[in-house]
Amino acid sequence: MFDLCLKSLLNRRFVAMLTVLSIALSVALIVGVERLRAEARAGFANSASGIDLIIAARGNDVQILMATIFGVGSTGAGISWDSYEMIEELPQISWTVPIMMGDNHRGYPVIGTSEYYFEHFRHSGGQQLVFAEGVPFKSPEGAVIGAKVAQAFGYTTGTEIVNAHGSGEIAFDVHDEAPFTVTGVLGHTGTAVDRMVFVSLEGFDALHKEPASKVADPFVMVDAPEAAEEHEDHDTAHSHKADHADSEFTDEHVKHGESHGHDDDHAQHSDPDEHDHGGHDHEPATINAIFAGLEEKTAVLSIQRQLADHRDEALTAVLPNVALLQLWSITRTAETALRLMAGAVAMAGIIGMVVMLSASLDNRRREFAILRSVGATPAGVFSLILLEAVLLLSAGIVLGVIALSVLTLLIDPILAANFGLRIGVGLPSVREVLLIALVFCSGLLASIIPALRVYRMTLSDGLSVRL
Amino acid sequence: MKTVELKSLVYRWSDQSDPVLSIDNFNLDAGECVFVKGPSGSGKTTLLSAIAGVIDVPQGSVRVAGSDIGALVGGDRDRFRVDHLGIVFQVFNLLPWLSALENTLLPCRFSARRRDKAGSDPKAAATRLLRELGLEDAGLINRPASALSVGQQQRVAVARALIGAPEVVLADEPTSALDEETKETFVQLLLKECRASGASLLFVSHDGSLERRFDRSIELPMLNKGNS
Ligand SMILES: Nc1ncnc2c1ncn2[C@@H]1O[C@H](COP(=O)(O)OP(=O)(O)OP(=O)(O)O)[C@@H](O)[C@H]1O
Ligand SMILES: [Mg+2]
Repeated sequence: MFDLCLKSLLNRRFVAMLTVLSIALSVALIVGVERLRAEARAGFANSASGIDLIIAARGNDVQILMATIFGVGSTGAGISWDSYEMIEELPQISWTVPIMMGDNHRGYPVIGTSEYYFEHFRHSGGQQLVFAEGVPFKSPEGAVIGAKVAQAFGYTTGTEIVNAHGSGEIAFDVHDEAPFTVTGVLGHTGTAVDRMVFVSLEGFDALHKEPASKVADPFVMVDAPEAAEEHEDHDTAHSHKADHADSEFTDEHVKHGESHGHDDDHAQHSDPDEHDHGGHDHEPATINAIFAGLEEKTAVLSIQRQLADHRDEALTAVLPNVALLQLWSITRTAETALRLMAGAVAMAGIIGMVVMLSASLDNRRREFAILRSVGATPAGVFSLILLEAVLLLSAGIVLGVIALSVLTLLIDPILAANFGLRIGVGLPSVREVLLIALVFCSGLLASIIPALRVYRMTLSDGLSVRL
Repeated sequence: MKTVELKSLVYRWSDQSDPVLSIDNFNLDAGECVFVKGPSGSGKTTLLSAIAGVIDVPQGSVRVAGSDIGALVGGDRDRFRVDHLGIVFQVFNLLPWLSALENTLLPCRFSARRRDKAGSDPKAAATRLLRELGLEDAGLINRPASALSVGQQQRVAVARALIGAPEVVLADEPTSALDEETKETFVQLLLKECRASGASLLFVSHDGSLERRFDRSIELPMLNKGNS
């Protein structure tokens, strides 16, 4: 019966191939969407582990999370070094890592931070960052690069790199004058860290400190620490105190996401010698965010209250996990839309198969009459149609999974480079297997319709084919 | 021994008031070759359907090889059909994507009885039958049936009807698509092979010129007292 079915299908190979293709497409799409969704979630969740709080100028939790953890977009205004020191000294805080951002190296975000970053950052369920080669930066000229950055440009320890302004592929101006030397390359993590470049706070400042004249921005002026209030100003970009007549232009700049700046004036700093914090030999005027660890997780509320009371600056303490939940609620609509679409395509594929099976029935009445004359029961003919559906569905599913694997192999590097997402070509997850099973079962269920028609047809036709 | 016995067979299609078949008594002896003639619409195909167990007949009215067809239900009838009957249609007897050989072997797929009776090697039996029917070219019988001429297709259909030695062969106007000459040789071959395997043959046609080659000839309207 099986080879009869196969040969009969081969006889209609063109339509059968089309049907298999459409099923393959729907399977690839439905599984692909699921895999992308699951990996995005897992990747995001992995990236934020180990950090109890992210503190930044008052702003949207999700935006702060995206900017600091994933290097996408930027935080609002900067926060002053004074605030950093204030937070560092809170009794509930066990550790802090300052974060400066807004620059990129050939499209990869540059993060100004301290070497404690490498100690405290956790990924993929609590793993620490490891150095594939080299060591953390010790001097302002040192840089540590993520695995993807090293891979993309072939950098190793000792390579001299030059930074450019702005986040995004297009460099606004290249800072030839502030080269860095790679001191270490991080091991692969599968998170956004892989595509980041880390330099010291001083090194980050050095990017912009140099000649203000070279920066082609007339509005770059003194950036006072207390400038950061609640306003839509972007990053530490253009001084809020810029001439009012020019503010319109400034806003324009902001909208384009251009984040020039960090032109902090060290002479301006209130009192650089007043505090003495072992590790921080350099004190920038403003930083963008602070990663913090807590002595006790339960201290979150009291910290949030204290920050709210902090008079000098409006600050937000983001709980990464809570912000992630918010992110999911934002993306849920898009996810649902995607899944609905994938489901609709799968349904179209199945309907296509039912149409193909049904349309062929009239042409095949002769075939069924012959089969019955040699002893095939109506039930046998019924199962012949179901068997055909099984063959078409199985071929479609196998082809779809293969196509998806090939496709992921191809786009994995692109996704990883641009979004820090790694899909990978692993075995399908339980959910994916369930989805495939769902496609299979609904296909089989739908093919009962033509099979029933055949059943009734063969009963009434008997051995002669009636018009 | 009678291979087909009809007794008080009355059959009417559900949408008709007059019965198509109304046969008091008809017997087909083992090995007997009978020619059935009658005008179009007289119920010849219906008669064959009744014997083949494709339509529902009252219990006790049709017996084939000793079994009451009317008493068989569902799939049993289909299994009985392939076990004891070989059928040749007017046209399009073959599955076009199977070779002549595979088409011939179809009953052996569905019936263990036919397979057993075809001998230890059904394939060899099929090849022998095909050769006797004038299809000896190995290339020809392994090619898809769609590549065969109509006359060749009908001969393959005969081979299929006869493989595994069923008791009865039913042929419903198998010659109507053939020209005069081919028709003659076809009927000769059919009769020869039926006699060789000992099968009874019920041959339906409205072409009276073939009548003389058969043991016996019946006119369906005469048999069918309901219609006369
Ligand atoms: N499936 C069917 N449903 C209803 N009526 C049918 C069916 N098949 C045949 N009939 C009717 O039964 C009668 C006999 O038909 P049948 O096919 O047996 O004639 P026939 O003798 O084989 O004719 P022909 O020589 O043209 O093939 C016709 O009047 C026809 O209308
Ligand atoms: Mg007829």
